[in-house]
Amino acid sequence: MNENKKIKIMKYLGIVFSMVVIFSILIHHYSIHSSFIINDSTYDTIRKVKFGLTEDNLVEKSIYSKSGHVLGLFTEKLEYNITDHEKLIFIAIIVVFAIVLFLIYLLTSKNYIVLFILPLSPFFLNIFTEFSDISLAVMFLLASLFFMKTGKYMHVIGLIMFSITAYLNFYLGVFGWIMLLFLEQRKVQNKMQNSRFYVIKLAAYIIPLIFFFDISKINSYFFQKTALERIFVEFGAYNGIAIATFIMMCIGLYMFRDENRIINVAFVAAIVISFVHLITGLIIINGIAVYLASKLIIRMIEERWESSVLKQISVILIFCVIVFSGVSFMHEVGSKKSEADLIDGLLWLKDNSASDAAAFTHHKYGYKVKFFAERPILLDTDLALIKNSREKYDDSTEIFNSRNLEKTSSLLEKYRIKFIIITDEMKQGLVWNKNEEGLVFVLENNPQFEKVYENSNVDIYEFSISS
Amino acid sequence: MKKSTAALVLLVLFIISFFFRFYFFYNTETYDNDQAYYVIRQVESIKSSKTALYDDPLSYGGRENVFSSGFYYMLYLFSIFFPEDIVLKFIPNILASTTIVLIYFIVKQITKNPFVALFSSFIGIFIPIYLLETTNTISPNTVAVPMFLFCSYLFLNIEPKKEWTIILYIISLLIFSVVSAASIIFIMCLLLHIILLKVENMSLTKIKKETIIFSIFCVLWVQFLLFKKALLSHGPYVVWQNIPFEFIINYFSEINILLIIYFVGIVPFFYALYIIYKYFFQKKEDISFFISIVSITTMLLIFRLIKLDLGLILLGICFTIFFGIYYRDLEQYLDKTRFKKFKFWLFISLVIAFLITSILPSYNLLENRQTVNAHSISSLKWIEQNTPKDSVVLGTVEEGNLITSVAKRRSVIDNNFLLISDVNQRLEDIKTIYTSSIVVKALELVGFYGVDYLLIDQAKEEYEIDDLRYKTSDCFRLVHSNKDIKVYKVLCKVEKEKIE
Repeated sequence: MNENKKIKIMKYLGIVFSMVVIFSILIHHYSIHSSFIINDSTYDTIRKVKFGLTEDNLVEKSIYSKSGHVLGLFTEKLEYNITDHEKLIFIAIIVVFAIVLFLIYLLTSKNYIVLFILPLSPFFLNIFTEFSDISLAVMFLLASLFFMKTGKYMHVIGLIMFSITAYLNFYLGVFGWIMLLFLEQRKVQNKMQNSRFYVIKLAAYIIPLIFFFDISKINSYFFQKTALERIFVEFGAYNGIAIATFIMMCIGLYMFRDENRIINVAFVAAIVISFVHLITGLIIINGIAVYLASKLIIRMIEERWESSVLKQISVILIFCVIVFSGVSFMHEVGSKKSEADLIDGLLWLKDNSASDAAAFTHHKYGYKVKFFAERPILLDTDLALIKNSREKYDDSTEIFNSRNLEKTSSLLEKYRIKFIIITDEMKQGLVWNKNEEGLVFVLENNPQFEKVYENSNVDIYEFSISS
Repeated sequence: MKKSTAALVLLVLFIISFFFRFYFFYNTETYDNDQAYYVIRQVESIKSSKTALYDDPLSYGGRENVFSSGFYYMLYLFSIFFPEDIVLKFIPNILASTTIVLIYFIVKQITKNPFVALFSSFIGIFIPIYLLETTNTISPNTVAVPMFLFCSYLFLNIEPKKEWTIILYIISLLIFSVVSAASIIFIMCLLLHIILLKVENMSLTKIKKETIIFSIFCVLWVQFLLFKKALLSHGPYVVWQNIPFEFIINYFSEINILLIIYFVGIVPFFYALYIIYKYFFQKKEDISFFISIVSITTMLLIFRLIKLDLGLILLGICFTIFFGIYYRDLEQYLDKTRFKKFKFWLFISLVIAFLITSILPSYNLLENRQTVNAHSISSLKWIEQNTPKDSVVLGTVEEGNLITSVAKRRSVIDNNFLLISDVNQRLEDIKTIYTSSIVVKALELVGFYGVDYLLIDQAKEEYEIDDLRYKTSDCFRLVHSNKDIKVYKVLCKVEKEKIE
């Protein structure tokens, strides 16, 4: 069997492996929760379109991006309520994922390992096991890169793909534009293209970016004590990168620095984007890391080592580390708690409270509170874009951990919080580890708090301001 | 010097090292700190249930635990063949004494001079901080430090033709990773070593590059497996082991020169500085590796990323190795000069200097060190014999392991802070219980933690109290008194009432 055929077969196997992994996670989640996972930020997107919002009316944001409306438009135009259509979500997830795999297959030449590592990468699992605008954005970005690479007339299709990318996710669009800059400049250097054409292309691609540019303030994401918890999966970052993959990326950047300059450019661009919008930056870095890690593994397998024992054990260890990160994360993704109880509680809150009654809960539920309960909240997961987020975050932590009634009450009054939502997930590690820690102790031992709603996973308390 | 002579002298030095320690640990009834009692409990748990205390029913009233368990299993294996008391006292000291053997081999490899290597080993017996932290403590450092040195030695000697060095290195690194998280420091040293060599336009041999790749992923994987939960719970703060702020200053103290000199020894310290200065930009791979260990350790100490004791121990050992290099250089220099005949007197003067600046201070440190009070142990044994098995006993952080190990009762707090989310709140509450003059407030907190007995021992010093301020209350009865140590029984149970 010749080398090319072998690589082709390995690539097909990689695609099959990836599909099996994604299917397994989706089916596993569905079998437990009878629903598929919808990314939280997607709720916010749908809400934006549903109410035609130009600013967030339920949490104070310093930036309110207008990108990412396509999903909302889709549901609006077809009059679907997305959360009721499981089959649609499942098909959308699978189709997007299949197209991404196909594009990776086309874009990578001899690197088949990437198709095996990708489904074990936490970021990949996170993005592609959920119905979200980010997964669509990645798909369109890969498509635009493919068409940019293919031939000069395909650039028109590439431009359309790129525009959609920028529409879905502005930062991915910026990244794509930097890649285009580099790729096209090389063509000019190699005399494959004249410089006038280069400038025209760059100008054409920048138009969608300008159109979707709505950032008035740059708000650095590194506002907490450490960003490591938001970057590395092992430290709890849901959209993060595995440490082992990161290390292999660093080794790969060093080893292949002369072979593949575009990767160096991509990495620098990703770092810059991370400072503005961490999640998008991490998505790009994850992609680069997976690519470089797979290239490194191929190099390790193909090269002759001085010690065969060390070679075998090292390769096994590397796979163990990658699989360990992936499997641990897969377990987390597959076991995501059902949202039905929380949604019921939020819908009750919507029907049984004043429209300006603010709610307090973990910021992870922020989008859902805004979407289902339509009530103001202190924080959502887009922490970097919220005004005074650092102060609010610290105050939230204080409210959660303090058993001092006076302290807790004064903070709740400061933000005019009327309702407190406590979930089982919060009691089982998200905020507290034992019963009656911190706020829970205060809630259960104080007449100022009255439990007004309860189901198997959610309690809602009403807070009465003391006279 | 003949090999047999050198071996004999090395054996004598090993025996001196062990018996110097023996003199201090054998005559002491109790151990130096409560961590030793935690280790005892771990070994007993492995004996009874074949697993370490990953689910601890006593600590914090019941909790999950994460730790490097290799050391405990190692002690358990020895306890199969020898009595437990002997194992817990002797084995850590024997293991700690192997450090001087490793120092000998490392210095001999660098200097090619057995006499210098033996002299360094002799210096290595009396590193004050190493003696203080490993003589009567059952510390995992008694294995971690020799393993660190052993892996370093193997790394420097690894060759494709000597397959045994590779296999031995793999096994040693795996053991090191399982025994201690200090294996991560070893990896950092390897990485800095590559950078230092790169700066000097030197390159590592292929086999060493392969070894480093293996080492990185081996240590990473093992640490992820062991500490996955802690990483997820605490993120990068796992480095500080979730230690509450008021204790962190003690565990991760600020470092200064005087402290280093005092705990490491003046003689090794100053000569080591000279060697680092001389060889930093010279193309000597072996010495460069130990310079990278010193650099990494110093940086970690400055940024308070490792505990002071471990950092100083590593520095002390590296300085001892550098002292050997210095002595070799000095001898070679003297050989070229007319002062060659004074070599013997130089040696004697160094020994005297070392005696005054390291041996005597080491002796002093060990002689005056604090151990766990025998009366405290007897009070805890009283608790074991006279209270129900499911009782909760309140004590300070330092007493937590003693309560669970000696009294075999549930504690409210101890110094294993990993995976405990409310540790700061607990500390605050315990302080309130001990210092409050309002009995209702104390009772409320006592009820919250389900405390049945209050131990008043180290709390006196920690909270500057003579006794409980509400001791005359009907809700507390003095049930045991031993010298200054008191045990109160809680008689009242507070119902969870709404706070008005």
